[in-house]
Amino acid sequence: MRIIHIGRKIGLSLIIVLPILLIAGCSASPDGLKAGLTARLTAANLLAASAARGLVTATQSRAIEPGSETAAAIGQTIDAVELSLDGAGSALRAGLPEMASRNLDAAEQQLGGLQPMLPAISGGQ
Amino acid sequence: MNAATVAMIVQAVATLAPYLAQLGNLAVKAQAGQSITESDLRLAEDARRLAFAALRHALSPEHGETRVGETGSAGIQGG
Repeated sequence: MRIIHIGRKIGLSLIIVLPILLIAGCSASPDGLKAGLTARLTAANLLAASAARGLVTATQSRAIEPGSETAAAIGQTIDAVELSLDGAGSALRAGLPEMASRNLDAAEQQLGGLQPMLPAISGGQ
Repeated sequence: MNAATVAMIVQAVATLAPYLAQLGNLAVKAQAGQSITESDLRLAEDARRLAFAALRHALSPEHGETRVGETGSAGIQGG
């Protein structure tokens, strides 16, 4: 349970880093917009990777039971996050910042959806 | 707190440390007005793909049978 607690604290501190990247990177110019999106997308990928590694640790401690409904829900959520992040990266490289931004919004929402799963893990597994 | 719990916490911190370090580097770059490069983005995407693949493997029912001392590599380069 402490791992979940620590994971949530790490997640909160990472969330604080994101606004710094957003504020520093965004400006009105197209180059500034792309730079801001690049920074935001990079941070989102790193957050997603760290969340995934944290959840792997949770499976090793049996806080998440492989093959359980919770495991299935997490698996489907990371599939969605991966699609959104890949879509954002492709759109950004194709010069489509609006599409990239919307995909990134979706990925960030979906990543946030992993957080409420943690209390269910602590109580129901 | 027993030794097993301590070991798990230490492992979790060690696992997350490279990502936290890379995020810290990005924050420093952003605050210094430097651009986040395509190389930074690709590194982050590669790290995410590796981590997600490890998580899918860990979540699979078949994996529940064989998990002895498994540790995932960070898959992230410094820089």
